[in-house]
Amino acid sequence: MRVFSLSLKALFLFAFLLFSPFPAKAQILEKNSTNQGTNKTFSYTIQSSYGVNTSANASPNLRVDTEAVLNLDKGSYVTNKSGAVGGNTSAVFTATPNGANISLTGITADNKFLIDTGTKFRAALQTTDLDGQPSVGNASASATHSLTVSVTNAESSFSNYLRSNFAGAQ
Amino acid sequence: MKNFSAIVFASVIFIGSGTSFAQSTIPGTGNATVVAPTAATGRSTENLSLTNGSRTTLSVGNSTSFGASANVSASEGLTAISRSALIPSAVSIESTIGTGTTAGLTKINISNLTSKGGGTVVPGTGGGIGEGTKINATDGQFASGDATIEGMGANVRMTIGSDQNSQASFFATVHPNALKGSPACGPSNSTACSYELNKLVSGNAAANANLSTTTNIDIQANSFVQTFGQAF
Repeated sequence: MRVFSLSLKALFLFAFLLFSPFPAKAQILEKNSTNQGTNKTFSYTIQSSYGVNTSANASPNLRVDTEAVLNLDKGSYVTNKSGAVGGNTSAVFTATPNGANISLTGITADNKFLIDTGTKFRAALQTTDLDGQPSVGNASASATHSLTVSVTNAESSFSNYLRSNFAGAQ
Repeated sequence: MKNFSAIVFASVIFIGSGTSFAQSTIPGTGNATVVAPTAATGRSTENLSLTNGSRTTLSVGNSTSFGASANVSASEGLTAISRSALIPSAVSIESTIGTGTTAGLTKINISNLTSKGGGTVVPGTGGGIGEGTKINATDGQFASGDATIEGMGANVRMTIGSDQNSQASFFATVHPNALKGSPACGPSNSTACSYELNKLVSGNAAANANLSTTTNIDIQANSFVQTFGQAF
């Protein structure tokens, strides 16, 4: 029994000497990440369109007749350019307390449409059945042309921070 | 903190300065700093996202529309006819942008914007629409202003010739229904027609042709700051 007691003490002493240089501490793991950046967008579009449109909205006791014919003549042209003047395109927006100033550079659009013979627009409404009901309707035939320049200038910056902390047993 | 599982959404705190990790200074606001809520010691995750910027859009253009239209509104017992025809002999539509005295240059100056009603625009500290600007348009009724445009143009020319093929004609008539069995009758200043007996009736018919050209300028400018933080 004495021998066993000495052996146990020796074992404890050995273990103490073995692990004494490494004191027990809580293990802490921490992960940090940061993302930062900027986004800049400058875009523009030049849109030209032309066409015809007929529409009618009438009660059943009305006869409707619409016709739209658009013939383009030779000599018509659509010329939209960007960046051809001075080699660059820019848009400067300046906001003022009661208004705004805009300067577009390098964007040109020149549209010309010549209408040829045969172009015509008709719209007609006439009551038909005597059904004792009111007659209400409208009809139209038209041609449209539009030229639109749209410019968008956007700038934004972002910052994302993430910290994850994993604390071990104390 | 181990048992604190619910996500605590950040109430963003603005302070003059700070040294915490999850923080960021907002550009354009001096030293204002956004700090994410800090979780207690132990296992925790802190996240802070900040986005700020500005966006400006401009849309300018010319539009032209022409054609013929007709409309009818008649009560029962009435005959209504409306016809419109537009046959031009020549039409020329020109629309240009950036073709003024300086090639490729378009200038738009909008000034003296005012609103009628309770709407107000209070400029920011910088003297313009930006940081610190207050806009109250709740009670605004309408707005007005001046616009000067250089470098844009529109020219529309329509010709109705004297030849038979071109015309701009309009016809509209409203009259009571003719008596049944009576011959077809068209009312004129020399021809009388027999009509059905009606109660009080009303009707109108209209025929017209139109030509319109408009220039539109649409400007939208906004700046934004978005913050989001959480700790759990």
